[in-house]
Amino acid sequence: MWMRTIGTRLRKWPQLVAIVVGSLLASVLFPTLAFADDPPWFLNPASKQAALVARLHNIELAVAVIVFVVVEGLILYVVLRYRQRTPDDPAPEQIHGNTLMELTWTAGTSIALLFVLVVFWQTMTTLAASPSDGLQVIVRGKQWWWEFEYPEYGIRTANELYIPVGQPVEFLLESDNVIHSFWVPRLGGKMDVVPGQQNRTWFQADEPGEYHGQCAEFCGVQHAGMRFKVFALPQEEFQAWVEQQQQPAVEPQDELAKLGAQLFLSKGCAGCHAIAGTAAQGRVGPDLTHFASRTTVAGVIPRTDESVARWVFNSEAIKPGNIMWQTMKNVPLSAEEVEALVAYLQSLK
Amino acid sequence: MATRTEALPVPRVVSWWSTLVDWLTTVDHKKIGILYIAGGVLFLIIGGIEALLIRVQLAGPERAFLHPQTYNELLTMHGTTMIFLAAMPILAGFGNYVVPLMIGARDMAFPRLNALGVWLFILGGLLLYASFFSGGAPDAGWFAYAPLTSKTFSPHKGMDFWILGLMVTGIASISSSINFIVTILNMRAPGMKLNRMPVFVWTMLVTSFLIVFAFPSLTVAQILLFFDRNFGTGFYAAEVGATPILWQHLFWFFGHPEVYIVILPAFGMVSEIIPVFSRKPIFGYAALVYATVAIGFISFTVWAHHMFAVGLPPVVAYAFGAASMIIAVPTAIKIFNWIFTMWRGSLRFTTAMLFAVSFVAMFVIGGLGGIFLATVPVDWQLTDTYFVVAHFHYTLFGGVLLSVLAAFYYWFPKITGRKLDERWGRIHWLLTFVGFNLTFFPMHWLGLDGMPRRIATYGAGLGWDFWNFVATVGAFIISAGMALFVLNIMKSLRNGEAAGDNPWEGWTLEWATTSPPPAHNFDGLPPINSRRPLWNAAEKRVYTPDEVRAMSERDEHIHLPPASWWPLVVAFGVTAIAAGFVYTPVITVLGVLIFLIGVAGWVQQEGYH
Repeated sequence: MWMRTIGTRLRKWPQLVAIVVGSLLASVLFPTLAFADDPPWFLNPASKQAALVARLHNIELAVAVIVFVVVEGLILYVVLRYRQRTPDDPAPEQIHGNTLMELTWTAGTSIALLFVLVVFWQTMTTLAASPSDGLQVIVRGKQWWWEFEYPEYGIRTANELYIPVGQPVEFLLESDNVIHSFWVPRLGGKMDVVPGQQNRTWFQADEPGEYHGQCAEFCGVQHAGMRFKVFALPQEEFQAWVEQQQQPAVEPQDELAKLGAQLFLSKGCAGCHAIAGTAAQGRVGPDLTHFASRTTVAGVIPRTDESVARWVFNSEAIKPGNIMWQTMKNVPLSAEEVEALVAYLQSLK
Repeated sequence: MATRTEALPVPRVVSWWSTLVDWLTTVDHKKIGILYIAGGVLFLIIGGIEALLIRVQLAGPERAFLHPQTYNELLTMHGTTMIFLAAMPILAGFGNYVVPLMIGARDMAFPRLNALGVWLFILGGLLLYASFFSGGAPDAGWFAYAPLTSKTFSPHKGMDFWILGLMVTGIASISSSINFIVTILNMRAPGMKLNRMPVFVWTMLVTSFLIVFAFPSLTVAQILLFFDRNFGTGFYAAEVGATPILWQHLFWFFGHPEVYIVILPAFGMVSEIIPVFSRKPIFGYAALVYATVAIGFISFTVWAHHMFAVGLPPVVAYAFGAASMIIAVPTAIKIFNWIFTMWRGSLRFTTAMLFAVSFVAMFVIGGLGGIFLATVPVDWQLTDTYFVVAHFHYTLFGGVLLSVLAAFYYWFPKITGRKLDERWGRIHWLLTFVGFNLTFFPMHWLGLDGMPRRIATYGAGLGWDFWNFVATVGAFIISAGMALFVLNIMKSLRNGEAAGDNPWEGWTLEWATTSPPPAHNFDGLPPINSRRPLWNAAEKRVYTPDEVRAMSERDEHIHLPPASWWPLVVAFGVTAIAAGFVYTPVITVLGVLIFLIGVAGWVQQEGYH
């Protein structure tokens, strides 16, 4: 029987060990090939904070690799060197211990740890110093989207965070529901968004670009859908963005969009969503004043006429369990009404 | 090596009914141990199926194989099942079976309390799983962070089932721990001094103390949560001025020692297996025992390392990080002790030894991952990512499960009288080892790559697709290995090679009796003058079973406790009391009645005859 054959062959130890260890090594070395071009990871840092953490990580990695090679090498050596050759090998010398060796590895481990503890402390104190002159953004974790408010500019937006390059930005984290965690790997570590307490964190983007952000604390059905983007812009571009966002919503021009604006009020959308300059002042869902300036719908799919229509018509299919659907499933919408709403929303530059 | 080939004693022909009654009323630590192990393996398989479903969902980006609500329920039940219904019971089962034998005792100190424990575990587990058929399984994670567990955010009854099911199994854990402590401290055979106890007995002792001190914190947290959910209190509610962070402190004050509750017995198991198959005593016994005790103490000082991102003051966070790192010292001592037990030995690579050595090699990786997570700034990047999933699976799968599998191959002959098939065993080991590394090693990369844990799906183009697919393939390889393992058990129970008293040439006392041992464990005990009572130091070999018998003094005064229905009745009562809180109060009232009847019967039954 084939299983018996394999089972018996497996006794040929050294070859087997070589295969297993070889494939493990391959799996350790191979990952560089499988990464995306621009991975959203902190080892590709775009801020001073992320760079400091990456440095600490790399130092620890060096220590870990040394320990790994020494210990696993020792295991392999012992396993290959001292395996029983014949069933009646005499019993080996009965060694009960060796104080010197035991002291050596206790001291060795302690020294390695002490080294890590010192670098750890240095990094910790450097990161703790927060700036006093930063731009402040209030970050509100919702189920399951992000609200970003810029108190000094009077701007409220959702799922897309714009920040200036080269300037520290301080985030005040608030939640009126469950715990979330604010995280942009390439810019800084996580900070939890906890109801009843205002946590603070900050970072400063050093390079302009688009960064991936995501909620990192399990927060319910759509935890996976609680993604956001960070756009770090040069100062002038950022100021232009601020001025644009401070404008009230543009008036709908064509007939279809005008119909959509009416439907927005009559179908109950305004109960949850705000559009500055109109009667819609809801605060439950995202502010839609400049909806058409965003790149995504609900943080998860690219914004196109078609995807907005799908979202308005059946958001459950895109983000199962989302809270808007609890109301929308009871609001019948005809194809024409969806089209009108999409035309309106897509006009809100 | 045992060469006995004669047929095993044929069991008396008994009806299935009397067999059933025998198992339901047993107070024999060995049968109770088997019940714990069998129940634990069943839940291990269920938890494994849940993991497979999770891996199928995550095999590629934006998959809709599972609804996210279902995903969250499976995620919660996978974690809860593996910790409370698989790892702890299987370890308690081996402890139950082996500890009294190792210390030369006839049974546990409180045999009926022992039976109560196993029934509470099984019934509590069933109550937890009843949630699937009663409106929905718990969905807020095994760590159940407030306020996601509140009635507002988790309206169905799943979390109530979670609270009550775990409280029932928690009574089992605490009662069996007290039993272990008393048994180990009071019931050792003459000559079995504390410093001669097998390391496995030491680890069970320390683990029992950890359970006694850690579980109450979980129970308190759960009672407060139950009040919040059902009676409108606000222990964790920010809107009435409390803080949800309170839950995290209470939970992790239990939850971190819990990690050591499951890993210490696993350490103990490999500390028995590696020496026997190296034909050398354990290297540095005293250091190993002190390290175990040290880990026990330090484990209560590190709980906040699960909470570095909740906004702790930097100095507090640093202190908890440093304390967590200090655990690396006693752990490293253990690792080196195991390696140097093998050093200059004569290693026999049975399946048990393959699993035990793999445990050492894999646990090193788990420990190294822990160093990254203990340094707070790195943890801010890695916490709640797949790096953590990789890390704790290297400690729980690579640590606990691999040593449990080693223990299966090692003690199965003692428990059943037959060996597991070694050839199938080696294939099982290879599939498990390769599948495990394929599944969990890439998760380190995923975590570094920014993939959060507990997400039901992920976007394409983030660089996460490939390694997720690899992990899913690995999970199926593990499953193939586990299926082979189950087949091996069924096959070997029927026609496995007869084991004899001492198939592995072990030197602890469980090998001084027949396989399986008689109800009273030993006809008589050999003299206990060292840590290895069955080791013939003069001739550097273990005594043969016949020599052991000749050395043993027959004990003519054997007292065994009578079988009893009352533990089962009391367990039913307790479970019904709990179930009434989720179904209807009538059940609670009935449960109180059953409980009182059970207790009345229990106290009136004579303990010995």
